[in-house]
Amino acid sequence: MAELKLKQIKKTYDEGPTVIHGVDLDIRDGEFMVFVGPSGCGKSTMMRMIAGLEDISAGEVWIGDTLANDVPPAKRGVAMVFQSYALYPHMTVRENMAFGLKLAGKSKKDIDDAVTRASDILQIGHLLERKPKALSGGQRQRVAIGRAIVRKPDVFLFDEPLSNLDAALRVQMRIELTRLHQDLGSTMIYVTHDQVEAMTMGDRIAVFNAGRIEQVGTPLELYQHPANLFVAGFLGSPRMNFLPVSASIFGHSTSIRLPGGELLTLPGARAEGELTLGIRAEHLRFAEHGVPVTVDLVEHLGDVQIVYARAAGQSEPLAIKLGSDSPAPASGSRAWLAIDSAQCHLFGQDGQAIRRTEHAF
Amino acid sequence: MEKTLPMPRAATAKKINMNKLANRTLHYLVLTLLAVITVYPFWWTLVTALSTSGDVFTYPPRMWPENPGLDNFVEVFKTIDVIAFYKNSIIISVLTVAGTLIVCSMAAYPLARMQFPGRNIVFGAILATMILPSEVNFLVNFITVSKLGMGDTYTGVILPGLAGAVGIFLMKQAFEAVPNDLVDAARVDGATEWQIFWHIMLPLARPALAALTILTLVAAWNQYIWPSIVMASPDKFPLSVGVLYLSGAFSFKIRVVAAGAVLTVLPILIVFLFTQRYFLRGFDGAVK
Repeated sequence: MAELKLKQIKKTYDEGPTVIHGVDLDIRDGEFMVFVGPSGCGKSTMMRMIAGLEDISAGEVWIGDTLANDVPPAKRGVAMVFQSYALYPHMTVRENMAFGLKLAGKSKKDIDDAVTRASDILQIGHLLERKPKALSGGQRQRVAIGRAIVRKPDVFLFDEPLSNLDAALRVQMRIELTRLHQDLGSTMIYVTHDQVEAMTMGDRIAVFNAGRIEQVGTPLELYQHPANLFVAGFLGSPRMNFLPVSASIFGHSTSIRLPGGELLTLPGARAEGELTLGIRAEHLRFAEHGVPVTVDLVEHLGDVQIVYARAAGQSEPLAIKLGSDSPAPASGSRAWLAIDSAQCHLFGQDGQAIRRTEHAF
Repeated sequence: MEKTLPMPRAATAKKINMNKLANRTLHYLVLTLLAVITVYPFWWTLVTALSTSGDVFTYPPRMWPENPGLDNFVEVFKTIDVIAFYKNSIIISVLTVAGTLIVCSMAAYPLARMQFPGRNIVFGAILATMILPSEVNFLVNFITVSKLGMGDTYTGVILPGLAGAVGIFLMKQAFEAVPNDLVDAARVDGATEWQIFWHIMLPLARPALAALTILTLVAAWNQYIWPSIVMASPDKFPLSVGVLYLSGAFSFKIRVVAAGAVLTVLPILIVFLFTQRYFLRGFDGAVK
């Protein structure tokens, strides 16, 4: 186990663009850190640099007390699980898991013990003599994790390990990985573009965008207090609703004029000018008066209903999350939305969140 | 209305089936014709070798042997030392195959998986050698081999052909087809470049290695001009060269020469029959 420090990490390809722009991050010993972000945001490149599979253009990677920039991958004390599993197709499961230990010159007994222990943890003991092509997707994923476990690494690196699995298996493996982290207590870094995985698995989440970290925090911190428009829009399904509003300061509060003309007072916030109001789908409800909208579509998801409704003059529809037994207006009908002012977020023109003082919540 | 609907559908289906049948028949006809054109010279040689009487050059040529027997084969064994020639052919072929596999795969690996300046130029230069027929190199190779003191040796026959462009190309394609993640996984597992080559790349390139083995084996077994230039001592001749001793200066027994040719081709034909599946798979990889 080890802590991991990233100091001003940059990555520039030869004659190409800069894909990582000076990332600073401290990952605590035993922490489950999730890198999340859209495709091409640099999260996988960051992980490959930690693993030693990509050169670092500038900055420092510290694993434990060692500056790892020039340390070869195998000596960094990291093990990586790839999206494609990357199992050696010509080797059996046992040989796949033993390969790294064999190269490290471990004795046959040590190798056998380590493989048996890892296969017991992952319940793949009965698969040890099979070749990867004879395994299902979930079994292959377990073997790939097993190959990482046998090396007893300080840091586990998971590069979108569940994205090739079907939905049901993904949920199951998500739970198993979380349990594995609890059992092993190792430092784990997990790359995903799936916000559900990020929210459910991570002790903390680092949200990447265009080669920068937008925000680092616990899943709930990020969900409840997003630092900017990107994080607010990226985490949460359906995504946070945004409304352009004009605001003026009114004592210790901000007064906001909503589309339709209604005024909303946000205690604890002090901002004025053209701002963006953010409100999550579960914090909107239909009422007798409020923001007038026309209902576009109602989606029934079983446990909840998502209503998409358009406010006058707005191109993007607002999403409203209702309980499955709540009455939902019909498509095409007119309705009014009440906004819970305590749950509103305000973003300035630079996209950064305007913080509200504690008592406001 | 509902009753008439299936009729046109059935008619269309029948028409499609007929088209398919006609298409398939044409394919088979063309392929059969090609097969006959390709196989006939071998068949004629076999018929000539097995016949013990009659005119060799009758027209139309005979399709079945006349008074079949093995007399011509017996005469081959009496006239030349077939076993010694076989031994020489086997030594040359096996060493050529082993050398080619080692040299081509080791040359192809950096071209496929490593980044270094001039990589494409090097590969282009290797490919350019495919434009020239190998006979063009004979003079230069002969002078080189002679000056290195390798004239009249197995090494002299084997060495110049080891780094063939076809072999390097075939192996490069095979190495490039190995997913990058496997190489990365091996790196994280602690493998050195050599261990990646040996433990990961070579086993995964097995179909290409098999194809290259067969290609090289056929070429090495059948080569005639180069060994006959390098070798001076008849006791070191491979079978393909030695069989020419059957046509002496004053006599020319065509049936015996045909029997010698059959004996030369037979081993390679048997090897090919058992390994053609790899041979074809190797070419699959080369054109994908």
